[in-house]
Amino acid sequence: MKKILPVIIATVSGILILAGYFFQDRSGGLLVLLINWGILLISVVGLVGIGYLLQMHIHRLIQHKKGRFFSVILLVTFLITMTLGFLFSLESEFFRDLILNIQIPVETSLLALLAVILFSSSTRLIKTRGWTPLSIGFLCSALMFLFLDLDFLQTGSGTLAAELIVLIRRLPLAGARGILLGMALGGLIVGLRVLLSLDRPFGEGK
Amino acid sequence: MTKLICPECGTENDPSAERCSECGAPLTIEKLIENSKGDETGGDALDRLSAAETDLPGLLHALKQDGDVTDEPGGGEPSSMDDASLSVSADKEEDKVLPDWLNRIRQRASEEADSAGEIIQKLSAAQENLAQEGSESKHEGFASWIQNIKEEASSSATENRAAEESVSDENREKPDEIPEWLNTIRKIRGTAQDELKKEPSHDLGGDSLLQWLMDLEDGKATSEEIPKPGLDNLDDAYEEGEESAASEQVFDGGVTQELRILKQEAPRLIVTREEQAQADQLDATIVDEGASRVLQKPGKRTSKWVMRLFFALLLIGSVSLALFAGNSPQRQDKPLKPQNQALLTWASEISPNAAILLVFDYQAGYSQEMKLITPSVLKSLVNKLTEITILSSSVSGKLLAQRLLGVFEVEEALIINDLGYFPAASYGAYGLANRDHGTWPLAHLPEVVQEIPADGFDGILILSDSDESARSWVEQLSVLTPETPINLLLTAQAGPLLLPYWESGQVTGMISGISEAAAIEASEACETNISSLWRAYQTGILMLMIFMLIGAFFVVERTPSDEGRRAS
Repeated sequence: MKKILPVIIATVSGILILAGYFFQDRSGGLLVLLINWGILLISVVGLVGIGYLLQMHIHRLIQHKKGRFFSVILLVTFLITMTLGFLFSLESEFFRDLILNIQIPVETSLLALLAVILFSSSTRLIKTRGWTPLSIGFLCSALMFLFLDLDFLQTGSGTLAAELIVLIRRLPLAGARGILLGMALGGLIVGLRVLLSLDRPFGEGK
Repeated sequence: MTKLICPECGTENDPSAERCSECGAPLTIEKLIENSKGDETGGDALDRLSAAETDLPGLLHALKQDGDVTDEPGGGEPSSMDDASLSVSADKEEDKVLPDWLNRIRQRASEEADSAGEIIQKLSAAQENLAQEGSESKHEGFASWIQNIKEEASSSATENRAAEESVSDENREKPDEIPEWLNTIRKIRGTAQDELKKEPSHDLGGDSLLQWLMDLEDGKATSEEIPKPGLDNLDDAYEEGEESAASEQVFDGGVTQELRILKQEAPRLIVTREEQAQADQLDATIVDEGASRVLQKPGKRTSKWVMRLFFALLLIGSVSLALFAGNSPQRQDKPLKPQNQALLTWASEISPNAAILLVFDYQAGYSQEMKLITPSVLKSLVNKLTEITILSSSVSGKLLAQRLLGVFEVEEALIINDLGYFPAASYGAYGLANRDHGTWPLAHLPEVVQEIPADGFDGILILSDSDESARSWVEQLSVLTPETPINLLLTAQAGPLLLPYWESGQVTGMISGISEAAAIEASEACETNISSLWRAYQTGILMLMIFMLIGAFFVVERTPSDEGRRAS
């Protein structure tokens, strides 16, 4: 029963939500109810994650483990942010500047770091693989599309060169859409497997 | 014709070859000596093992034949059984002096049930049978063999004495002439006689062979050390192509092959090819561990660090130069992209009383890019409209909206209706389009979910950094309010994948990325700094392209051929 109950709940919930898309007039309300429950559960999971994070850093601080200095910074900033969030509302200009003036530089720096890492990885790919058809194709395509995105090539509208450039610039989009289609099909299959209890991500596996 | 067996791969080579024709391994003298030893022992054993694999009686026959072969040069005096017993005793002695690794290999082979283990097990069983048979007839056979030797020795002594008497008579008549029998013995014994002459401790009076046999029977004989073959002699022997004769001539006298076995009493090491291969591998490992290796020079790391610092400073310097040495924007007559022109047209033609919904769907990290993309559109909207409705679908969207709209200076107070936060990602495809079908609303459902108007807007403007979330907004709103124009202000990463929505007519207009914003600025000669930022971006990308080429052409350490060699 302990193993069967989660399977029954997951299967029934999935079938109900799937049926809600096809029979919206009759089961639309039930569909909204289940989705709202799901959102509430996700919020609770977020709270549990925050609690686990705090517990881990408090333990690290108590046990004098390596990196406890950063744990102190995290705990202090968390307490300050939570206190100010309770004291001030989102309409407060002070609270807005406090959050955004920290969040924006941090996220922007992470994005810049991501760009540098991607560049370094591309160079490392060629360095480790050597001159293979894959590495040569990667290098040529990366350089070509980077150059095209710089808009240095100026052609008249309607000319053959302009059409050719447009065609070339669409090639990455074709690849990206292929990946998205694959992801969609993969998600559909995973959903069906969960509905049919072939996969049990909520339990002990297969 | 005799062939040289390669010690590495076992290929037969011409006797004059210096390297193996198959694997190219050098056929040095040392290798050949090892090979010759292997042929004497391991090769024969392997051949017999192959026969024994199929037939156990055949194995017994092979072992008995082994004794016969050993006896052949001796004239066949001792029985085959006696030699088999001697071989078994020699094997037992050699087990004591075998190296540990070989014992382990043999033990493992005897325990495992694979083909080699089965062969070894059969071989062990056959040897045990032979040992039992040999032990039973050992004393009897050995006694008869010694008796034969005694009789022959006595008869030979009698004949020799008679011959010596006759020869002495002849020698008296012909003192310089060497007797024929002495020539025969000298011819047969060859160099061994010379070496024996160097041994002053032995009594060589009379016939030394018979004397030694008599001493052996009486227990007086001592083991003699077999002289090691000279490399020159061995080489000559191989060149003559007489392998068997070479071993006889070089090691000892040809007739004394059996005698040599009795004299030396040295353990005969039987090494199979599998054991030889494992020993070679072990030897190669030991040699490889002891080989000298090139150490990495400590100065190389320093040069890499300096190189990286140089490229980083070059990148920062060039981007800064392009950023701060910018010119004032100049108006260009270059036509805008149609999707950009469509959005600008929609923004300029909107009526002052229009109701506009702004959806903030981007993260804080993209706020700077969005701040450069949106002014050309938002400025005209803020100046015309008196009321704007905002909705956030990102966590910090409400704060970002306040900051973005706060930079515009408006003559009249702008009323902003905040619908709050709507978790579009959690609702997914069912979020907006089906909110009216809820018949069981929760009592404490977020207010925003119920207040999203199905209609009543004259236009919707979505600010997004993700093609996925923007796609869900476009698809749901285009179904919910098909008559309401939907426009997009996007970051560079989200724009290309959403372009088909403009081409299909689901989106009225769109602007994506700094490049399109810079083009709009150039067309309108606005007083923003997008052009200088765009120029710095171009410089940075060019520098990265150059660095990538440098890294690809000058830092490559391995090639596919290297990988192939390493794999092989």
